[in-house]
Amino acid sequence: MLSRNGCYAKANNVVLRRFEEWGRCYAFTPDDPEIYDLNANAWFIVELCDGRPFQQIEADYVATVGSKIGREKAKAQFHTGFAELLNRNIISAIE
Amino acid sequence: MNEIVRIGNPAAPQRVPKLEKPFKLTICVNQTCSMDCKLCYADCGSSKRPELATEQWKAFIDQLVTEEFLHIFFEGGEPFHRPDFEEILAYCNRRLYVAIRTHGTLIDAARARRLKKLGVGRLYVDLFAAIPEIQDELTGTPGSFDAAINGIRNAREAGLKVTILGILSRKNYQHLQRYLDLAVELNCDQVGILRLYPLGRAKRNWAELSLSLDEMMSALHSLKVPPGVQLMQSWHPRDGNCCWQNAAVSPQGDSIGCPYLREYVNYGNILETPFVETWSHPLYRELRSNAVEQTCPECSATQGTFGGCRATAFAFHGRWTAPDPYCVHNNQGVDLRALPERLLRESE
Repeated sequence: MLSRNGCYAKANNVVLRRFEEWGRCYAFTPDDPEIYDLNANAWFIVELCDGRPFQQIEADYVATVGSKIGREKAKAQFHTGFAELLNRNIISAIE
Repeated sequence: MNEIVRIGNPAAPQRVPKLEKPFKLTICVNQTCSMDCKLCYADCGSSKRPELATEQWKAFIDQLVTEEFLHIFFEGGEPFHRPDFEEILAYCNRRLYVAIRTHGTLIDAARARRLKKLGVGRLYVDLFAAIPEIQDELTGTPGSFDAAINGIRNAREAGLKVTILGILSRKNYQHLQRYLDLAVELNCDQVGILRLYPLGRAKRNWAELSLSLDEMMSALHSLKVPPGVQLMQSWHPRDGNCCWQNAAVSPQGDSIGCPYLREYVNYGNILETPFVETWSHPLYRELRSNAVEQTCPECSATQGTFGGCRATAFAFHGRWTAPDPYCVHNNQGVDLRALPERLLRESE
């Protein structure tokens, strides 16, 4: 469940393997064993989730990506990606 | 990479990515089995060299974790025929995604529950035929079909994901749809129809097992995929050249690139050379370089990769740069029912 007031980080145990040369990253989720192929947007969101509040993460994403594709589109893209990552337990809310 | 789920809309790679080191590796953990299969690529029981011991595999797994590998695919032989296999799985300890290729006959309910607890991601269960009498004939083991089906049921009941694998041959091409029906009956979400490779006992039994490319394509095109089941197959237009990311180690510790290259290459033994150093072997680098004489544009468009399977290309042409004869556009008149004399001589 997404909370706009919550703080978020990469979920415990999730293992990332970064491939900077081709702009993607794989995430292994041991608790529900799967490997996910994160595109650059999803990967960027995971990297932004370092324990800060949702609104700061959103603001950083929109500031970076919005300059290329427009703020509204960036915001929509962020929300879709964030929800997907949360749903797949790649990121999670922290205390 | 059938386990991968994409988030967002990444563009399909237009070129094969270059990897400094791989992230996925197949461990052919043993060369023994409880059955006597006509299609056995490993030619179980034939090797005189010792297999790696438990502690050696554990040390290798530590190496893989340190080198940021993410995914181990175990196969054999029959991995569960090895008494320490579950100990090796436990050692992976959720540090790596684990998938296992098995005949399924040794998976009782208790083992299935243990595998679930160990965090196994998926089982790939081989059925050489989807009809009991034919499967039992091909495995040389009465009751093997029923045992495999029980293994799949046990796995599913324990909550494990299962892919049913069928190697397309003269023994199953007329009942291929039965694999998909079985997947529905057993609540499996994937079926993989694989090509037959001229390796091990399959090579020796080639005349009895092999099909022409037309027969293969006709069998594949006749399939009706039921809702909820994903069909994986590696013929045109999905002839992938996966050498760019493939890594595999034999039961004796040889770095062989891919289980289907096991009779053709040896990039060094991991007991003497760290695995990532074997990744730099000149031939290994060549096979990842896309240096091929001919590519199929349609396969490249869907796979982002070039030239199709190097193992089959080499088997039929004797050149690493040759086209993959299992692709309808790259076949060049090769009759897949007839193996080159060279291969047959090598197996004598």
